[in-house]
Amino acid sequence: MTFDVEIVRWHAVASWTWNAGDDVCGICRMPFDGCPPDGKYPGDDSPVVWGVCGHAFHLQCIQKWLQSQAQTDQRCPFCRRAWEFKAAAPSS
Amino acid sequence: MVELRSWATFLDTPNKAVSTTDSSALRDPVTAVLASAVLGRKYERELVDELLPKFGRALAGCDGNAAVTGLLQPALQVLSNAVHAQLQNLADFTYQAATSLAQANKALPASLLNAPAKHLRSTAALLQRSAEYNLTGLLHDLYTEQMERFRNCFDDDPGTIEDLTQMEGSETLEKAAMDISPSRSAASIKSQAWVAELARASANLRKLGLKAMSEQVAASVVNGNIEQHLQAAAHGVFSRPVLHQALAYAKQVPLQFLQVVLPPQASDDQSLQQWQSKLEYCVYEMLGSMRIREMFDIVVDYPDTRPALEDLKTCLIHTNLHSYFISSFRSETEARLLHPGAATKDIIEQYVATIRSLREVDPPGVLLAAVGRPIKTYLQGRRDTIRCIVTALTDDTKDSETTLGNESLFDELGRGAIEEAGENQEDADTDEALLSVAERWEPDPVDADSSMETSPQDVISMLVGIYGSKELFINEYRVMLADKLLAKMDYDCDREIRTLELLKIRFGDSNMHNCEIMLKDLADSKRLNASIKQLPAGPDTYRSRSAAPDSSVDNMTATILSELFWPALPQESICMPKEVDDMLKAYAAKFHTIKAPRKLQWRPHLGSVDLKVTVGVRTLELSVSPVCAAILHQFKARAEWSSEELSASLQMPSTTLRRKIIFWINQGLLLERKDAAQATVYIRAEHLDEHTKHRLKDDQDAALSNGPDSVSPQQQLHQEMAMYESYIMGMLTNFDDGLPLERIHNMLKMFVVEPAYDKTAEQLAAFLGKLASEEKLQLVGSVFKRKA
Repeated sequence: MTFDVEIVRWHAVASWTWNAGDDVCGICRMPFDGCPPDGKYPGDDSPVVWGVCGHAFHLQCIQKWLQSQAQTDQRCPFCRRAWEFKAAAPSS
Repeated sequence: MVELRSWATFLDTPNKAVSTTDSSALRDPVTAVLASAVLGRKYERELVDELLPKFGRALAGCDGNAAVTGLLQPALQVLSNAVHAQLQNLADFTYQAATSLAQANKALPASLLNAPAKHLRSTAALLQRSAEYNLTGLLHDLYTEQMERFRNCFDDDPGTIEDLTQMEGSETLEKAAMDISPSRSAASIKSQAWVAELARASANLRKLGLKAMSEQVAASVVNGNIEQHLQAAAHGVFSRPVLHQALAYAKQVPLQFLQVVLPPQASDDQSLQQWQSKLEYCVYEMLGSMRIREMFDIVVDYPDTRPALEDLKTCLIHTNLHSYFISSFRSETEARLLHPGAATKDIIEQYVATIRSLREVDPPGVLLAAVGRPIKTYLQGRRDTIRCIVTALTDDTKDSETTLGNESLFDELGRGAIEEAGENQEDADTDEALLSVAERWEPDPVDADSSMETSPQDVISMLVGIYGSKELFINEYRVMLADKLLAKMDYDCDREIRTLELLKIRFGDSNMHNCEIMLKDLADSKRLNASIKQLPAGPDTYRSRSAAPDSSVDNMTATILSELFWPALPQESICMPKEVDDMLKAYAAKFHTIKAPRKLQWRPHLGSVDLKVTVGVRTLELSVSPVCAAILHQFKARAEWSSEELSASLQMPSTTLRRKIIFWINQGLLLERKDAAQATVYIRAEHLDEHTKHRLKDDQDAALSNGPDSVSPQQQLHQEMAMYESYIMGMLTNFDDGLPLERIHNMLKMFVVEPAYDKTAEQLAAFLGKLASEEKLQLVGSVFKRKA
């Protein structure tokens, strides 16, 4: 006797996360998976970036911060190390 | 003394006495007054002894209405002639006495002059008082009968009332008000013999001093007639206006009737006008009261009943029925609507109809505030109110029976949006707008309850305002939207987007922000899904990390959520079959490739699955929830699973497993058996019965909704509490006298460790209440006991 179960189509549900460890952005105190105060939509429109120091912020937030600093002296607001965007996607 | 004696003889033969009395005897005022009194007394006796019995005999046949007309008028005629003769004699006598007194240069006593009037008064009083022939009743009968004849005459002549019925609009009213000259049919009626007879009868009544009574009876007959007419013409008739016609009728029949019955001098324009306004008021009040009594039905059939509402509005303007309206409609609503038997949906529909109806009747909203409050309070007590409102508001499916007038709430939502947009454009001349608003202002009616806010709101604000805050409403909408979106497999949410746009206009962008992101997630998921499908098998960098990078994602789609913006989703743990798990991992890896550094976290129990199940020679295709699919998948490789094994393999609690597996057992695909050790064993079916197929179709929807539906907090609590049921029952078995809530709570806290009991006493009380309602427990005083 045959008893076969074939999956024709599986519609799954998932949620995404930036996987940024700390839950909230250190600048705006909003969740990484949410959006910064100026942002309207989360995700693509509110990207999260890492500095070489390993600290993560919303792109909008850190840009605002960097703009407020002298062009020559851009530092991470957390550890005061020189700010540099980490190029590749970080491993978790 | 001599004179007194002569007066005594005079009493016996009055007529002779008056003619033969020496006029010289009347030169003395005292004698004259005395003589007049004696004469009056004499006539009175004649009236009592002769005329009234004669009158009574003449009316002897008047038992039924039929004979009244024929008998009453002749009898009245005879009586009034006789009384008239008496009065004439009295007047003659008075004249004689006056002449004599004048000759004797004596003053004329006032009582002498008043003698005829006094006699008339006492005659009238006698007539009214004698219960023997119930003159009022007879007169009532007479007038009613003649009124009927009048009406029939008008009915026979279609040129009068019908004309007016056909003309609609306010012109009719004005025309009717101005045109009080008798119409041609009225003229022809007046020339008829019976009308003349009627006129004579009322003239005779006036001669007998019964003018007041005659008018009173006429008025009550006319009122009765109007009421009868309204009852026949307007009762239950809501789909066309009846007020103009009724007013026209009142002007035609009853007014003409009054013209005949009332004294001729009353027919002059002024008093006729007065009567006419009395009649109109009567129509307004009667029709108004009738409509108020019928209000509930009128509301039910709204908007087909608009004409009736228009009528009622006019009636309310002209009368003072507001408080009657409030009390009557309130009690009607409470009796017929606000009881447990009515579905929340129906109550809301009736509430909406009430709001719309009353807005037509009473634009300032005073009535609405008063009658709407009980409905509002009642709805607050129902748990599914918000859900029903949200459904009603966002349901844009047009059913074919929807009539043009009966716009759905969804339409209203859209219309409100358009109006708002229109208003915004008018911002330029705000002052003018304000001025026109100020000019339209009218004070609230005096009987308005000032404690109630009466600002006119639209239907949606009133519905949303039932709970006093739009946040609750928006939250509920969000939960419903989440359910709807999670059930979608095709990402198509145009309708939801349209609804959301309308809601955004009403509630503001920021309030609907979460919902907007939810919809955006769906659109993004669609795009992402397409890109993931196009992506070649995972790039090298990630191949090493993903479990089975080659696993195909071809027959997989996903909805990817920005979780923070979705309502809390139910959590269930389940371990997916390896085949599925690989597929999910491959999909997630591809997502990571495209959207690095973002990652996916699966909600394995959400979504839906299309399965093709082959049993024997039969193949079934069905859509089920992922959990059900996972369970059935376990039987692909093994024919038999014990309950424990299966729950361990799927990593789900056996209670949950049982709840889910029931679906397959019902479908006939799995069978439940007890093995030798009384443990539950599930076996796959070897063949499918013919009837299974039908059942499958029926249950398919149920199976799907089994899955992602979010549960109400109440249900969720009961589910969580269900595992404590056996503890509680066991506990109460040991305590025959029962235990109070507090002790049950403490003992659960103390003894239940796996999983730890973490509920509050209130939650426990709710659960015990549920057990009591299921007759498992009983509450005696403050202690819970096992039901014997």
